[in-house]
Amino acid sequence: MKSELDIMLTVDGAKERATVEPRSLLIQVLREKLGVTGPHIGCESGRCGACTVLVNGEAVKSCMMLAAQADGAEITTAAGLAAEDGTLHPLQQAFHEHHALQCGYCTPGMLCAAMDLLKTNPNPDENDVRQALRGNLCRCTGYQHIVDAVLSAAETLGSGASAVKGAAE
Amino acid sequence: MNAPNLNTQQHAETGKHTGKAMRRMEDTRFLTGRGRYVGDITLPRQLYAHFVRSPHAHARILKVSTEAALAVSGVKGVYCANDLQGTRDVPPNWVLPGSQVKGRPALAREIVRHVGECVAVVLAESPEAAADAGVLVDVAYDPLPTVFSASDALQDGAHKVHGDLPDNLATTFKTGNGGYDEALEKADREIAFNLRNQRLVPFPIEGRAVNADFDPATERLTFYTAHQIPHMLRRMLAGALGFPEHKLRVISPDVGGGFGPKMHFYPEELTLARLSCLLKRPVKWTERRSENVAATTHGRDHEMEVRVAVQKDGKVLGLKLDSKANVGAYLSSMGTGVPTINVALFALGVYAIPHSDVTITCAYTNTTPVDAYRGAGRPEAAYMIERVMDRVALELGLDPAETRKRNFVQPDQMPYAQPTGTTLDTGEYAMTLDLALKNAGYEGLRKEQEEARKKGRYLGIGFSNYTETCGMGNGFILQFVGFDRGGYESAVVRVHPDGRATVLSGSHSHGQGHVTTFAQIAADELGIAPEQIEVLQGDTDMIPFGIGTFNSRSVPVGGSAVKVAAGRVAAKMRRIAAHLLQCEPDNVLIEEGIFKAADGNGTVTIERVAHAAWTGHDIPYELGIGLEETEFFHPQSMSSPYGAHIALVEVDPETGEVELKRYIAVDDCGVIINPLLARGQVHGGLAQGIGQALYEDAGFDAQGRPALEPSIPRFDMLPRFETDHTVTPTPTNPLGAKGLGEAGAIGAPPAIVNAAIDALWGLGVRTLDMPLTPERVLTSIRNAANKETEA
Repeated sequence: MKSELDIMLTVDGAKERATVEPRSLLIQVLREKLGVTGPHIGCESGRCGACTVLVNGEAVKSCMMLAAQADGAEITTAAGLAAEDGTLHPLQQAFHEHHALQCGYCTPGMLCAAMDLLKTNPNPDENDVRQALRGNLCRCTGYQHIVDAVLSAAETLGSGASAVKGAAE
Repeated sequence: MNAPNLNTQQHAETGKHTGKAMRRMEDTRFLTGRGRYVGDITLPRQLYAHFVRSPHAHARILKVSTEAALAVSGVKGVYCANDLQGTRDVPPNWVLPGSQVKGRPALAREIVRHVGECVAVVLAESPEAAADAGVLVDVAYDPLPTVFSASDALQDGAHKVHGDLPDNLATTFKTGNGGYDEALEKADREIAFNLRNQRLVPFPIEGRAVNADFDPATERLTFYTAHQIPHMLRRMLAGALGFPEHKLRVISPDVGGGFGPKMHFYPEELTLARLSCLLKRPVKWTERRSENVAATTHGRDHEMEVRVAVQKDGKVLGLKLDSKANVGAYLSSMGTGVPTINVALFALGVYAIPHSDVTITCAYTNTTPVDAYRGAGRPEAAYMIERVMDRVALELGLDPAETRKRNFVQPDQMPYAQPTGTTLDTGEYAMTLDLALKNAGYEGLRKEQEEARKKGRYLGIGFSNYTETCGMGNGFILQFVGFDRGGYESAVVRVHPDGRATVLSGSHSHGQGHVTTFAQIAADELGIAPEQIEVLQGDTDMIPFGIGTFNSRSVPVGGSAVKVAAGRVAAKMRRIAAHLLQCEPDNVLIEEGIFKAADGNGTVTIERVAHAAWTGHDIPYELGIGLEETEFFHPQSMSSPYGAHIALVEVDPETGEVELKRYIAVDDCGVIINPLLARGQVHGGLAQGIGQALYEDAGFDAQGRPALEPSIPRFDMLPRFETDHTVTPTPTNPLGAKGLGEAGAIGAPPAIVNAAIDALWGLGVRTLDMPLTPERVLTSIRNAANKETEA
């Protein structure tokens, strides 16, 4: 007999209940049970970071956390970063401006990892960004445009300005 | 974006929207977690598949025991080859004439021939139940002798991968105009060395994914798959299944990276399609990474011996290449085409080399099938010829840039038919190289290198002047080389009664941004804003027959189809507007959705024109109804983008570490539609090319198992890239665009390895193999030192 657990999560502001197996990973519950398909699965080892979400504000690879461990937590995915009226968060806007995404598969996880960085280090330099995001793989962009986007977002968020500096060569 | 116009030839014009760094219209859904990939699609009555795969590289299947698996709650069934009656093997569709062909079985029959080959599949009501049952399927194997490398497989008496073939030879291809020995007689010396283009795992972050949905009510099969070529897949799948093609719908929604392997037809696709038809339920499978590294096709894997006959001034008189290519256990889709045609034809690169003898031998081995991966053969060719150029320069004490200039095909020789069989359409190689030298500050770099050497530091500068002939067409040529595909691309352009437009394209984006670039192209023709245009792809019920996205062909071929179709719609709109304005069509101007008579008398909106077209009100009868055009753009020939890349590395001779300090790329892809997206393509290609040079390897162990975690570059493993462009438009299509997607992956490996060899030349290092791991570099330095001591 499998024992099952009832857990409660807040996902992008919405309260959710789920019945999960003790072995269920957070990513499985988000995707399969709750239909939250922003975070993706790209590996089996926690190496690619495509599943990264914010758990109580901290970036977590949701394939490395049991769903039961997240009981009661507040989960934010890329879908929860934009304002309610759909206005993109300055980080999302910077990704758009700097062409920091191509196929988009790593992007939701990348945004969450970068959110965590900007919270802990609001004024990163290029090396800080490259070190902080090294746990998130992107096979399309070669990373440079993502670095530029994160640096630009940091500047915007730091200055309180609403516009994000355009992509510069 | 800095794109200096250094071209001396005539330019194709960019327009109001093309040529601009427009931000992508498709971004928002990805940024807000609303991308829709196959794995995100779950259907009513969904079944989930788990494949049971061979842990052996070569073995006889003695028995498959399924009792324990079938006892797992929620399991619907366990299926083996016998359950797929009437299903053919997955056939390759590029087969060089004369090849010995072995396609991939949907599920293995009696023998498995590589690690990861599918033996059985479990279907269950949940992915967990399928996986739980999968580990309980007990397969008894009798291991058989193995062979892993092409050179071993081609030895007399090698273990045979396919018992019913006489040997492991898949095919042999020869090209060139011959006369190498004659060239050697005239030459001052011969330079010979071996190269290894290692096997790579393409590693899109999204693995493959399938949801096969047979509907018994309509007897239609809807087949969701993460794919680059929906129409080709439909044709191949229908053939292998024996399913009516007109009732098979392939949908490829958002695709999480392709890079080549997602353009092929796979055993898992065939198996799941068959089982959905049998069970009349949708069946879903998302590939795990451990499956991806073993069962999704790999790239490269050539063992090359090259000889060149050179004059002391660096002029290369003849080239002789003998390469052994590993095609794996079966022929994947582009089977014996990629390792032969795509390598051999481009062996002379951008150089006028009077004599050439090229032989490529393809061998079956007990490894994962090898197929197209970003560049697909051209990286192997470029790596060889560009390594040759730097080697010639170093051996003769010449400057590698100058050596190249002495060998370049000259602009006044274009179009230039290489004796290996390809034609270079356009190119001003010295111009592009000069810009790279300028951007690099080359003279300063050489001084820096000299100064550093005095301080015991080893800097190296490496070059690469790759070409990547691309934009595949036309059908006649493809037939000649055994490639069972068309060489065109489709587009439908439809202006709706409200004046907005839909573009349907047979290309298929997996990150390239067609939604934006194709809208820019159509917008310039139609005289409306790109935001008024929606580009749709990836659904065979909706899109006319297409050839899809690979071979850097989407813009040159797919974009040209959009331009031509949109141009015809625009011409019809002009005629209607002229009728409404009572003037000649040639005198009608269109801008931002307003038609004006050139003499300034009156205007009419696109809505009015479109309304007239779709109602037939107030238009001449002979114009016919509607504003919709279909184009199958079929280029006569391919184009040859090229570039000049320069790498600066520092090698630490104590640790063997190679630091890539700078990477300077000047690419020429003809006319650029969107410079921001073009830069993204260059960056992505460079990341994969640098990955090959420094880090990546499929990493088979002694049992033939590929590494579970190939060393894909992370953020901290790549430098900033210094990119730039020259523009030599191609006459092969109306955009003047040549394609760019594979440039970086082709250009980077030789530039970096050349730089590392340049750094260590003084220590006696003459050659290095990729990836340049510290261990490998240290070994080369030690071997060179030992040789010197012996001498």
